[in-house]
Amino acid sequence: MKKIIFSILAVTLLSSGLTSCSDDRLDATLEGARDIEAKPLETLTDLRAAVSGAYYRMVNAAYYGRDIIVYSEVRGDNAYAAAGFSNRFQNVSGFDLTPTHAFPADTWKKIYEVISSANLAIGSNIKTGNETDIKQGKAEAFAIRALAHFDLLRIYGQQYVDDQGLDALGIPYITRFGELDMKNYNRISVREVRDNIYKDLDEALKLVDKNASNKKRFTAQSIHGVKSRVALFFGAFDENDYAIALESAKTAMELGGGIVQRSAYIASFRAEEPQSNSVFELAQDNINNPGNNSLYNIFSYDGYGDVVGLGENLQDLFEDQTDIRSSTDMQRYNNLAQNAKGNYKKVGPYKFIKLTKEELEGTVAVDPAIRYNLEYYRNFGKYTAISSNIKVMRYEELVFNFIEAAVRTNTEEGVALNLLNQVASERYEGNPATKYTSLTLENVLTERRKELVFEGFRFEDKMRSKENLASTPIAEKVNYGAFQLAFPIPRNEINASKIAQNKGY
Amino acid sequence: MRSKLKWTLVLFMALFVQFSFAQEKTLKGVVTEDGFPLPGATVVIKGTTMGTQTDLDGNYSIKVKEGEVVSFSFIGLKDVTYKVGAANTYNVTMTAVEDMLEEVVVLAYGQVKTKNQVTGNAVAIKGDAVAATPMASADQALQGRVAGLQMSASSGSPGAKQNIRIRGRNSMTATNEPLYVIDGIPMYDGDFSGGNQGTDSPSTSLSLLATINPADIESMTVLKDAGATAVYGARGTNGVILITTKRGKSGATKFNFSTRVGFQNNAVKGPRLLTSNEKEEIFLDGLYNTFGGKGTVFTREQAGDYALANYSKSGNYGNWVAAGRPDNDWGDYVKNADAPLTSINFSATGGSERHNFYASLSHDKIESTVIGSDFRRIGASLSFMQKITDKVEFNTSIKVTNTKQNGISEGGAYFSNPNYIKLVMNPWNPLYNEDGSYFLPNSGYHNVVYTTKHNQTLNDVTRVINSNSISYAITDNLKFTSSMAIDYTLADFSEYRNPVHGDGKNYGGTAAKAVRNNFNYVAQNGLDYKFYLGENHQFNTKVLVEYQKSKRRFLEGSGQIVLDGFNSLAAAAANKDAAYDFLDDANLGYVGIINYNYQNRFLVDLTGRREGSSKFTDRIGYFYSVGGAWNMHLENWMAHQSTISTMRFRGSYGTNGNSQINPNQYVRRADIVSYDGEAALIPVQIGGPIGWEKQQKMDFGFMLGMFEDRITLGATYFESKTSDLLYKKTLSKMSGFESQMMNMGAMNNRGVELELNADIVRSKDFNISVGANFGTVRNRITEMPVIDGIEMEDYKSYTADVRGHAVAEWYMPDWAGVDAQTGQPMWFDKDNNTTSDYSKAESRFQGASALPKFTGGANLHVDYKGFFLDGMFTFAGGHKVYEQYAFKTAGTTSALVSSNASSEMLDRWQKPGDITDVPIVQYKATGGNVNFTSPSSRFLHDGDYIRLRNVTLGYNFNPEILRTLKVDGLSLSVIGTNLWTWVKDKGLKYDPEVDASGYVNVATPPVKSIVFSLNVKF
Repeated sequence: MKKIIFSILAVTLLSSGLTSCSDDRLDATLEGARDIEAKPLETLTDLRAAVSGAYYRMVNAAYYGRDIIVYSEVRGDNAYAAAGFSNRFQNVSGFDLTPTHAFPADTWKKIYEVISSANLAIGSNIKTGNETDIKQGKAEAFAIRALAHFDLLRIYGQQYVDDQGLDALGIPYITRFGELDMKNYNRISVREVRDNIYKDLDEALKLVDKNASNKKRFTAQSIHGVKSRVALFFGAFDENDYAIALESAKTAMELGGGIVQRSAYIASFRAEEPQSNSVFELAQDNINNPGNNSLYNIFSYDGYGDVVGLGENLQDLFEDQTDIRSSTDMQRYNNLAQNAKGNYKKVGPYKFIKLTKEELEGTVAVDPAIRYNLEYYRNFGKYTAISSNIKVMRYEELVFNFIEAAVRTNTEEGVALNLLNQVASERYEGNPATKYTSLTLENVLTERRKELVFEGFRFEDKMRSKENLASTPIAEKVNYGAFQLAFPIPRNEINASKIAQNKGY
Repeated sequence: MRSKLKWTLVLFMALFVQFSFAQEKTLKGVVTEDGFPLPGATVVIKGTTMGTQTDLDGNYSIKVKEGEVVSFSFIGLKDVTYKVGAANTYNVTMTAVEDMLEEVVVLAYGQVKTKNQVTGNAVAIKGDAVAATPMASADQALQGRVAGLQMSASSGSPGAKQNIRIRGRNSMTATNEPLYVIDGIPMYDGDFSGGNQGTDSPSTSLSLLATINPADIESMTVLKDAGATAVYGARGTNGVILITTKRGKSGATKFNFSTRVGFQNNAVKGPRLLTSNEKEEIFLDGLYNTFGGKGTVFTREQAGDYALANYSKSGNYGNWVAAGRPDNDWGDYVKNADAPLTSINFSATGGSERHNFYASLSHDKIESTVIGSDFRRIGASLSFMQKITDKVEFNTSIKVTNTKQNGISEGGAYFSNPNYIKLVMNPWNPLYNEDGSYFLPNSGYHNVVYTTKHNQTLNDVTRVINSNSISYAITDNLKFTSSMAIDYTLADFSEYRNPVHGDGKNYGGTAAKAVRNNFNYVAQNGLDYKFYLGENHQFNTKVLVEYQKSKRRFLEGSGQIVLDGFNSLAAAAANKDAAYDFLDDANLGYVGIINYNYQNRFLVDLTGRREGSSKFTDRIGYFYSVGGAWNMHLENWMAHQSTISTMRFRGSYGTNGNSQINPNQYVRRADIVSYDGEAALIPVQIGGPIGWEKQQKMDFGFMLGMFEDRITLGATYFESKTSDLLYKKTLSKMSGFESQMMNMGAMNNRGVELELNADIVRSKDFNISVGANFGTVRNRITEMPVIDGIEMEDYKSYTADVRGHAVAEWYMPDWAGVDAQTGQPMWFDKDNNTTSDYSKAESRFQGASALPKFTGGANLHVDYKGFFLDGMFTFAGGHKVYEQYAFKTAGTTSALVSSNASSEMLDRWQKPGDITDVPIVQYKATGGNVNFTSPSSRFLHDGDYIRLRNVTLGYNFNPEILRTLKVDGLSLSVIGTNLWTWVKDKGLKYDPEVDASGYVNVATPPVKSIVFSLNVKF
């Protein structure tokens, strides 16, 4: 009996020990995350982590990790999304987007998340840490905010539609972390967006640490570079911006680096880490990468393989086999094989054209020796691995920004021609010193296209020249001024913030 | 009380009788049970200590006086009394106690009441019904048996989670799943599959109830109203499902052995896809319509040549033609026809007055109807009771199961999801190459036969549930009970993706291992006190403190580049990564219950609970309920008639809450990620103050029983109002956040539930009974969040949340058919004119949500001399389901090249005048055809269905045969589930039972099975 009483006592005590407690036993644990209200950003480490968070988001597949680069390629004349693969980007490439489609919604969301991260850093009150480093952190955040708004503008802004330019409806410019005030969800004009971008970039340049050299974060050079990129874009609507582009590109080039040598050209794209011509890259590695949603996977026949080159355009562009950029390591046809019954005939060293109906039927004879089978014209050289860093800005872009601004404004043309020849000498066989003797816009744009093909510039380059877009196997002709040139504002955004929809959607 | 009264009466009688006739004699006889002699039965003359026991042959002999009352008793059997008359022999047949007991209902916190003592709304389902349903998890037995309970399957894969909704949808953001309480332990519901923790392709889910052996379940009680659920406070909003497992029964040890073998197929065939040749026909049509230039460039007959010239490399077309146009039926390739199911269960129970036990062993193996998925569970349980003294009782039970589930990629458009591949795989792709090796397409959908064979998605879940209680009867009326229960789950997940084909190809193969361990304990200390005020006022009271703590840990490792022949993380050579997550929450509750009973005629129940939860900034909540019942048939003035045997009114009113959201939602939170080898912070949650979601529930019921309850009818009206909804307010993406959790808005549910049961024939050898239940629920949003003075209207792509409508009511343009002249699809615009411009189409409310407006079941039982037949129909209606993958299966543009489409597409518009629902087929869609598969009522179907859920035909062998076989019971039966289905909307080719969200999902559909079952008791 005693035993029983003891055991009851024991159980009672045990269980009352478990149940008799106060309400403060109710606190939950937070591991692997931080309550930034209770413990706001205060140290330099915190600031750097917040800025790193912004880069982390930039390299997401919905932004620089893939989509924004593909948008510019499949809407230009370099590439398109072919049928028969994973059906990704077909609505982008076909100019068939609607406000409920995922691409406009995902990219919109991701870019504003980047802006949110930047604003968290900008708005933080950092109390401890080296002042230079704190300023550098803030400078990076300002530059990120500027670039992110620029990217939103070039996708969603109405500048091309009816050629409204700077007076067109832009995008809302968000400058406060956790912005919930509907009044600030306001689509300001393209002009105002431009002014805000310049303001943020200038603030960044004021704060930036001149000695910062990590190319996987913003440096003085890449901030100047972004400014030249942005200014070149706005030059189409306001000539004065070309001067800014010229100036910024020049300053950026003076800060170091150089054009990658011909011998290192192919390897520079296979390199995982920044090269001599790198200006700004977003870091990726074997573990932190978008996997199946990577650029590699969308371009590669061994991956999703949706994005293929517009062979009929590119084979002429890369016909010249003395150009390292035409090498089979950089581009070629996939599954190219001589076949007496093939559907293509070889008409140049690297030029294949589709047989006509008559040739196929045999009413017009074709030499079986020049008949070939092939899959698609593909980009082989620029995205060779899932894990490579994303090259956001290369030295060569700075060069072309300078040259183009120079030729468009007829200033510093001598320097520009010299630069153009410098690029050419590192690309063509035998390092020709004076490939070009005069500077024409056409030469400049063609070289720019060859240099930057598949890197996410083509659509904007076409728009800057206010060119119409020719039809592709998936899209009808789209004229400059058409509403399809701007993405729709996502439906879920309009539902939440009631901002204005773009024309035509 | 009643027994006391009886005793007195018996004594009095005995005395009285003794005076009259006092003649001693010897009474003899045989005591039997089920025809067997019963040794050791106690024979006592009531009111005396004189007595004897039966011998080995069941014989007894006792000296009695005429008029005395002899009582025969045996543990586990019902006492028999006999008033001694003139006869000198009396043979007794004793029967088991359970057959004679009035049906009881198990309620919250161990309260057990008879049907007519309950004031709340509770429905009990016996374990037999659970055991008779040949499914992996016990909740699947509830369908069609409880009015107002709606059930839908997220997947028909064995062990996958079911969605249960009791009285509809009560919350927008927090859970709508009921609370499961197993032997007093509130469970954390969730998906136990390790594959569904990350953001990668989800695999088959694993229900918490799939880790419980259904044969161990004694009963399940579904608590619906506040009267029954308020004691569960914040977790009772969506109703509570109490599961009571089997306990020991004193008496000679009895064994039960049952085994089952069966096979399963999909209950509904699903849509037929185009054959390889039909696809070519559609494809060529598309090319002709887009490029043929109405015969000027090429004619329809020449389209084949054109295709070969230009598209031979697209979608394997050229190769398929070269191979002689073979037919590739991918639906057939992924099918696991006649998937076997086996189950073995063995249990024993017995004991004496002081102790008893129940023990069981089980093994189940179920294959899925699609390749690559199966389920295996072994389980053991032991439940033990010991009366340490007359006052102290100790109970313990332990249940251990190990569940192994081979899952598949499921529930989304994943390239290795066999249920998706069935719909979309390009039928020009063969399964094998000419040389017999697998055909592995370079891009696009995977050869899923290869990937399911060479990949692994394995869940191995071990679960231990241990509950212990000790009770001490301080006095006859005051009892202290202390209990503690532990629920520990160790879920081990292995994943492997081969380097040759599929998701692992880019990485040289990937392997991952995830270990999840959930530790959940509940401790309760309580006092029960019962007392009388006067003779007729009985009170039962209970006070209780409950503390529950849950800790959930998740640790995952992954790696890449896996050497050929290995499939484990241990063999991954590079890029290893680890992830860890920890979640905990705690809940502290104080519970008080008062039951008042006036002569069983009037009953009043009061319950209250104070509760604190770690999930809120405003932590403390108070919940209460009041319930009452009037058993009118016990009134004196009802005693003069015999038609009405039961007539009662009951009602309850009370409050509940909902706290089932993830912890830490109020925090302004930044997660730690990695950039360039450095720690990075990303703000992921804006946070803000949140408190309980509150609910008020009202419930009135009426019950009528006639002719000794041979016919019973029950009717209930309920209304519930949820306010301060935990609402995930969608934010503008410009805020940097997706949404913010807030308490705003209100909604209302009301409905009627009816139950009817009738024993049409009731006799010894022949019985027929029928029953039916029916429940309705009407859901309305009564208040939407007001932001900046404007009431929000939340319009989404397919649904909308707007005041006056049901939550997530379907909202999309109305389909207007195909233009007979142009073949273009049409919708209605805001002026109700037809338009082929989708951007002009007006989105409209479709008058239904994904949840049925009514559900119910009907059952029939017939038995005749040992043969028995049970059948049950279930039905649901008033809801709509959306064919989510129509954008694939109705896609006839260039997207078709790499994919497939439904055979419906053969009805395409071809020439002016054609009346059809399928527009013109174009390789490059023009006009409105671009938007054909955009949301519209074209792909929204009525969800109404009737299903023959269960048919059992069996035979219970009669006692003579049993005696020859020397067993206590033997039955054979054949069970059929989902043998027949009727769907109202002929356009709905998929199974009508879809996930509660209402979207036809690419998961394994519910199965139809035929199962043979054998049950032996000895």
